[in-house]
Amino acid sequence: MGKSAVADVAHLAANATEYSLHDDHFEVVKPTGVRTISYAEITTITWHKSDAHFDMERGGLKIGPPAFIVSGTIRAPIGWLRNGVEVPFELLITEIAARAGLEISEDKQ
Amino acid sequence: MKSPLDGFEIKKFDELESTQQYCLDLIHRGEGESVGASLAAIQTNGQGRLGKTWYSEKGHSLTVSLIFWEYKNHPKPWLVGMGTALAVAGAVHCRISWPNDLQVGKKKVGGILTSLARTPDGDTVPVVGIGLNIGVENFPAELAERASNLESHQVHNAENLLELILAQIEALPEPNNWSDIKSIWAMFDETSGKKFTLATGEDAVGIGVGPEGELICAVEGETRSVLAAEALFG
Repeated sequence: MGKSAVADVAHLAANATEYSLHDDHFEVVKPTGVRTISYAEITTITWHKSDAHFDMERGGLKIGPPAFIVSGTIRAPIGWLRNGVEVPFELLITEIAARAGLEISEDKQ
Repeated sequence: MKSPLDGFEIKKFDELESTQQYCLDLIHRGEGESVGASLAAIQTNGQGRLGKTWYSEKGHSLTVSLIFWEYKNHPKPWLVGMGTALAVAGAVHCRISWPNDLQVGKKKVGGILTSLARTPDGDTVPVVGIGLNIGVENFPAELAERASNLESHQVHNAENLLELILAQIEALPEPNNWSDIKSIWAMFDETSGKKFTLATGEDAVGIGVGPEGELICAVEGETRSVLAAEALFG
């Protein structure tokens, strides 16, 4: 791997947000802090290109790739290729939607 | 991941002692190379991990065993079982406690039993049993506190649920290494903080899942790791 490719991967990793899924909520972990979102408070989920927009009773949230899924000692990439394996980012959104009991809609704009 | 029913048939029974034992016996006898699964409406002597029994009730449980002929002599057969656990979790949106207990909230709703069957030629074939409560109400008292059912969470019947699980299996990456399924596992993982009893009889608390799919746990303040192969196959 060339120097620029290594730098690209490092940049991607540094910018990736961490998500941790729990039974009744999920957490969005950024260097600036942790946001906890209950599945029950999500009212709609909409795809805008590669990002998912969550509307909640109070406010909203936009999440998109690249990302890490975190659980216990596991920190694994999602939405970007590493070691020849790619887990699509859509899988994360689909699972959150299922736990929230919602269908995902597409932004028509 | 390859579906065990792609090119293989499913044997359905109204009643069977154990779907797992049925599949193991077929393979030991050198028979059943066209069989990819056995499904029973009720098991009279269902098996759980570590010799435990699995209680099921007619019409309220999915009890099926899958024969993964395509993964014959797989160098890491425990990953086939863990992959199947992921497929079930993806189908019903439950959580997985290492290596293969299925939970909704704090309640166990099912489990995965991974066995290795040896053919008369000496080949090993992973057989993965799935036991899932989809509405068991009359559990024996000793299980009532530990087990739950999926009825309040998701409503399914056994055969539709199996179709859903098979579709999830096909959507998974090939389970050659733990890193292939690690990201997906992390979405459903419920290992951290869970209490385990080790084969030594010691009580442990789960810290997480290690780089090869092993359990990382704490025993009286000391960190230990338990291989998935050791936990599943003894």
